[in-house]
Amino acid sequence: MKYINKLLILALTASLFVSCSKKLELFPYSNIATGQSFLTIDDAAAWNTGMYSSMRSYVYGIFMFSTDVQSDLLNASLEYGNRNGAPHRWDFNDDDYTIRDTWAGYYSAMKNINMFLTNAPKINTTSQADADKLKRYISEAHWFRAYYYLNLALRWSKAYDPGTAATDLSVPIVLEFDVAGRPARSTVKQVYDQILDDLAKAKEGLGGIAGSKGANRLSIDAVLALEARVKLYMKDWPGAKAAADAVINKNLYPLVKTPVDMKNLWVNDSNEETIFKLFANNSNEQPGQVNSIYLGYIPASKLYRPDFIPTQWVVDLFDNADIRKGVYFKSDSLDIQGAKYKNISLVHKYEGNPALFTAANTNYAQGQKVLRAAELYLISAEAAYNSGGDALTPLNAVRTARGLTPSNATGAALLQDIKDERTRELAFEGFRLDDLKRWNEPMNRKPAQNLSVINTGDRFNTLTKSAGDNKFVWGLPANDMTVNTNLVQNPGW
Amino acid sequence: MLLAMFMAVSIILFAQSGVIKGKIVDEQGNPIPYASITIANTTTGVSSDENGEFSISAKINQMLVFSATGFQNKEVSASQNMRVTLARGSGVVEDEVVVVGYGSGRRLSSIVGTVDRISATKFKERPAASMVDGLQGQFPGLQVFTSSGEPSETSSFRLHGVGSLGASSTPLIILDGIQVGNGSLVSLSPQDIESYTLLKDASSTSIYGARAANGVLVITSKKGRFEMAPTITFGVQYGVSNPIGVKEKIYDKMMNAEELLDWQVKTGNKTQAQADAIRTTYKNANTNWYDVYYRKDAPYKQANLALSGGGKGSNYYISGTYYKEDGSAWRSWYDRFTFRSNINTIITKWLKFGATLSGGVDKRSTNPYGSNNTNRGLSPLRQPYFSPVDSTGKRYDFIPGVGAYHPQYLAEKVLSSGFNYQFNPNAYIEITPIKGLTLRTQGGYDAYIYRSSGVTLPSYLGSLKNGNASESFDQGVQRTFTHTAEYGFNLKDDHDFSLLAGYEWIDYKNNNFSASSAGQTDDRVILLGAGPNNRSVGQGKTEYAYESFFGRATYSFVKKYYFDASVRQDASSRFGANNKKAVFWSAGLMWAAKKEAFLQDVSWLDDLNIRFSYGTSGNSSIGDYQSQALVGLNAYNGGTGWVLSSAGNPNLSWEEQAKSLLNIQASVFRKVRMDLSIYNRDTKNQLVSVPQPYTVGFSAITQNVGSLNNKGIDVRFDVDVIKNKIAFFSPYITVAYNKNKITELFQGRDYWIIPNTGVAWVVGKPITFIYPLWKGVNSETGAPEWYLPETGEGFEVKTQKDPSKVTSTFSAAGLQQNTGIQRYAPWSGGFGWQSGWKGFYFNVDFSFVQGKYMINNDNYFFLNPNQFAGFNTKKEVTDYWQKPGDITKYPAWKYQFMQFDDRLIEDASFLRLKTLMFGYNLPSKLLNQTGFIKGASIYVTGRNLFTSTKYTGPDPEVDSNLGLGTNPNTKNYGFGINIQF
Repeated sequence: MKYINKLLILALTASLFVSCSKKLELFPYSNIATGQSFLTIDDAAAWNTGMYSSMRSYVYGIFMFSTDVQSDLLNASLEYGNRNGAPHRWDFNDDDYTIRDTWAGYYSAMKNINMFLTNAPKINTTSQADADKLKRYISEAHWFRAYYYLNLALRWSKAYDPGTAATDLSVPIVLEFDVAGRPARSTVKQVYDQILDDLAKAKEGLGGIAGSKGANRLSIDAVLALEARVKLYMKDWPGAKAAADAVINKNLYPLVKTPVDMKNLWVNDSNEETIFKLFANNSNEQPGQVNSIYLGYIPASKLYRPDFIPTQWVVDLFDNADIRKGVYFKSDSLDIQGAKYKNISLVHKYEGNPALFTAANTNYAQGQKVLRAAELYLISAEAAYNSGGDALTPLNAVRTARGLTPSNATGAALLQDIKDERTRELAFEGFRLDDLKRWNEPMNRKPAQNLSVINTGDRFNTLTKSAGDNKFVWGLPANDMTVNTNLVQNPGW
Repeated sequence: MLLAMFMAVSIILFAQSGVIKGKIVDEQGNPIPYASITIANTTTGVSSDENGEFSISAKINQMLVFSATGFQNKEVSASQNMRVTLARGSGVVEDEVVVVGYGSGRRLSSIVGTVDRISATKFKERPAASMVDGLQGQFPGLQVFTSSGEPSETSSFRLHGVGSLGASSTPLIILDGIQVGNGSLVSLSPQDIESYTLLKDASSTSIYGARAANGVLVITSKKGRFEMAPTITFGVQYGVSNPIGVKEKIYDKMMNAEELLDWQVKTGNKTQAQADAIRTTYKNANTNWYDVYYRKDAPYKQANLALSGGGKGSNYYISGTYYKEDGSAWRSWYDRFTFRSNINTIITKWLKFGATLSGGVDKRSTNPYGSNNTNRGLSPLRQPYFSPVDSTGKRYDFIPGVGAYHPQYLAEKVLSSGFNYQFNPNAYIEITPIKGLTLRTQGGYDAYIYRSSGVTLPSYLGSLKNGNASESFDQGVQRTFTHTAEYGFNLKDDHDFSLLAGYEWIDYKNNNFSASSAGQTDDRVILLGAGPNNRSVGQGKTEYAYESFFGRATYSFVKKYYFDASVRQDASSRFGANNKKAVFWSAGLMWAAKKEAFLQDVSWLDDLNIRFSYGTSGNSSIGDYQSQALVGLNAYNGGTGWVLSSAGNPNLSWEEQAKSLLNIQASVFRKVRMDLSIYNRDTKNQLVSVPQPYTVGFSAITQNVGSLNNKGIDVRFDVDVIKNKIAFFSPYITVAYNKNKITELFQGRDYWIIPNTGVAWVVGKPITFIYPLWKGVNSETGAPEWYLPETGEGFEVKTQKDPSKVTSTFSAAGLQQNTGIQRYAPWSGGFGWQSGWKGFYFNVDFSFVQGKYMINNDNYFFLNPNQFAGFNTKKEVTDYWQKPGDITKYPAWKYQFMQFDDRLIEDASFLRLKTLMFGYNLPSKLLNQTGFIKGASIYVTGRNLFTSTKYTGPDPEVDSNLGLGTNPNTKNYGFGINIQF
């Protein structure tokens, strides 16, 4: 064929080979690529909202009752089905699911915070209002990080002892999202310094955000309240007292004084006394963790089959005039292994808020209270006691609000009153084991209400553990010990 | 003188490029009609007529290839009035021109890679919807499993063992040059397929790059032939199917009414009075629930009509097929209509064009009550003393006593079906601008729209006036565009070169959404809008893309020594940012040994080819966005929040395989053909979900770690025992052995247990079952006993069977040990024969798998009467311990009879008579009388007619670590006729 025709054909076919440059970078439709999620102030707002939402899965539930189950407040009923059995008997090992889920939960929350704190400061804001918002979001992220590290330190390290904090081992500090990270454990002092650093940064952006009772977002009061809690554990008495009093003196969170108000606070999640509470509703925003071990209500028979029953001692710790007694406890009839038992006090502090029920019967859902004012009074009292200040005022503020006569004890008796009041007020809120630990007291399981309904024996209701027992401090989970060879396990695990 | 010379020259010149005429006959001198004569290395060809005569435009001495079904191919150089004799051969058509690994067709004998080709003619009358099912036992080294008896079931298959711990082991499937998914194959008709070619070694597969580590199955659809008179082929087939094995192995082994009542009284489940009351109330019913849950003789039918032919410049193949089958379980059926039009045109000497339009519509419904559902899967548990019909013989809707709905009632009230619209078009242009250079551009789609609808009628007594409806739409389109340039040239006659360069773009987009609602009250209005409650919507969308460059060079010296090398670079959207491009290469050698001088005279050796190749390929069947760190959504106080939902892995890449394979093909005594391959596959960078410390924030991330090795041998023998004018008998056997071994895991571990599967990966061993090891029943105490594992780290992967170290307390996690049983079967293969006598033909194919083990989860329910008190149980439980000294299979009544221990791991090896065909081709003398019928045959056919296995569950063929509530494979038999006009 003609030469020119051949050339034309070659040219034509060559043109077929020009590849359209198409993209090979494809992004999913049901998720956002992380690299695309830190572009605007709205993105920062979404990350911030995400932190609040996920906290619903890391407070209450196993994050709250696990240590109470381990403490002297509770007995295991015959129907407990070995749920939370190992922590209750103190025979748990590093492969225990509670240890695994608590540790994994806190670090899972941490990854979002770390991701945010690394990338959010790079967001460009176009107005002062937006810049302020970004600063607030960053501060709130610091608050969350401080909160989670405090809880990690409380579980996995010894009580803060200023003398040995620089050498006692605590948890690994992770400040960046890094899939290759294999961090070693930091010391107790390093972890608490990190917490204080995060709190200081939290104050920067939240300094101007005033608190209000029942707030479901953070405020300066939330920062101060957490600071008070942290400093109490650090035995920084002046610091703890100053932070606690700063909130108390604002009078924004007066303590309730009547049984009706007390009931509304715990059953209906009223806003009273609450500095920071997580939002919940009865449809798509349910709390991720609930305290379901205390009742075991059977609607068909109207009887109860709880996993854990309060000891007689803790019930008796409350005077009959105490407005908390009728709310924290109720006398119920139980169905244990087919037999009915009457008049046993069960923990009703977490009955479930009817506004959050998703069906006819309780799902034990509550608006989770993260910080409440009553704790600050007790921190102020204890800190004052240890630093030669006025402990009676804050102590009696709580006592009189709750219907008790004021205390006028001094010395060791005053300390005991403070401790008892703290145990009463904060009962079943996850504080007891840490209090025993830092007061260097043994865990002696207290006398039970009724021996027929509980597991008995020296692994259960007569279990005693001396002060400083190894298992006051939890062991690092087996998974991390196996995969991260830079970790050292706690003694006794 | 000059005139004579001139005339001589002109005659020679004329003869140089003219029309060659000739005749093609068999060894007895009978003409072979419709044989194919092609010019070697081209697609130019003609067919012989009814008298075996042909004429073809060719030059003198040009090499012509003669082939016909049932005969061995032959190459003869063209001469005028040539007479060519073909010898009979087996059904395997040798040396066809095939397109393998891009570019234009090459003859099988010149392909350096090891490829196995089977003509689809032997599968054309099979009574099954799926084309892959018939391949079981046919290709040595290819294990095929059909895991249920649903008519619309997609078969699973793998070549040379399990190549991946975390990703798919399915080979790449190419249909007419375009990649198609395994799920699309059931929507295409096996009648339209010309041949299946399996590419087994690196030399043939490496050019497919990051998708080819598991081998490549090339499916070629039928095409017309040039210069072939139009032929219409019509066939119909009718038959029935019945489930295999489940009645004899399970239902018949459960207790009958008398036995169960006596047993229940004996074990204290009922008092004698209660048992008598049942006998009276239910009128001594004795039901074998098999008859209620499965239908006998479920019918199937298929019909196909094809038109094919061709002229000088074009050929065509057009077909329509219809297939309908009822499954033997209720609400199980499959209805398929396909259409295909394959056209090839030579537009000019240098421009060819072809287009295939292939599509189908199928509707399918499956029985959903498998697994541990008592509405079929666990229906053997139903008590035999209840009856499914009332005293008049009418079927109950709700069966009293049993307390469940009749399966036929459920099939009438709870409906679900899917409609699949399948579309597989492709087209190509081929240009040969200068001699030896072929430019080809090809594009095609594998597209489907799948609509599924489900409804629970409001008249269903289980939720009266509260029906529900759901609809979903799922669309997937995969596009493939390939451009290749191929240049072949020859130096000094002895040196043949061929170079290929190519570019390919593949992308896939999937879009789906669904909606459902509940609360419909009337059967007449059941649309989504009629349901006011539980309204819910969902949507998903995903895509991926690949861009590749590849090349191949082939060199052969005197057509005796061949060498080829290929290289391919794939870039994919699925790979992590740090690993976007993957490069694969291969090198292969072939020695056509028979052509050597020293073997030419060895008369008993007809052919000997030795091939060896080594190369790399990849497996990229990973999630579309798995390499990316992703953010998911949550809500707080009505606002939307973001949290990290997947860690991503910027280093995520394909699994890489290096495979070496040695292949020896020999044919001796003109009767025996052997094909032997020995291979070694090392796969590394396995996609595994690797545990991370929780401090990372994620408990596991998919990473490329670990390596696996597969070694093995495949062999195939075909023998022509009898081969003459009247009769032929050609048996064959294929056997494959595969040995797999984990060679490396991650984080320096020696073993890794996959949670909740009973399977572990142990370095240095094959993939193994780990389960508590049963010792027996203590004859003194009646307590069940399991061996105590060794203590310490790694106890789960060791084996301790010291009879003095036992326990009677069961713990699934605490007693796990290495059972020593491999998860995947090492041996597989098939055997059978093709035979015929005069017009009769009789073909049989068996397939077998040996060394397959499976957890019989059904037995956990059927052999556990104290765990599932009140339900039926197998008769064998009566052998239980009652007093000291008893030696029994089951422990004392106070102990659970069956636990998840190695009693449940059973040998699921099986032998099946896979295909049987017996038919008669009507003699041409008879047909000639009609004047227009060219060929006709009547036949009977069967599938899975016989099964031999030790497995006591319903179906040993399930491709899984456990079987539970399987809807078993069916045996089908039918009869049909084929007519050719």
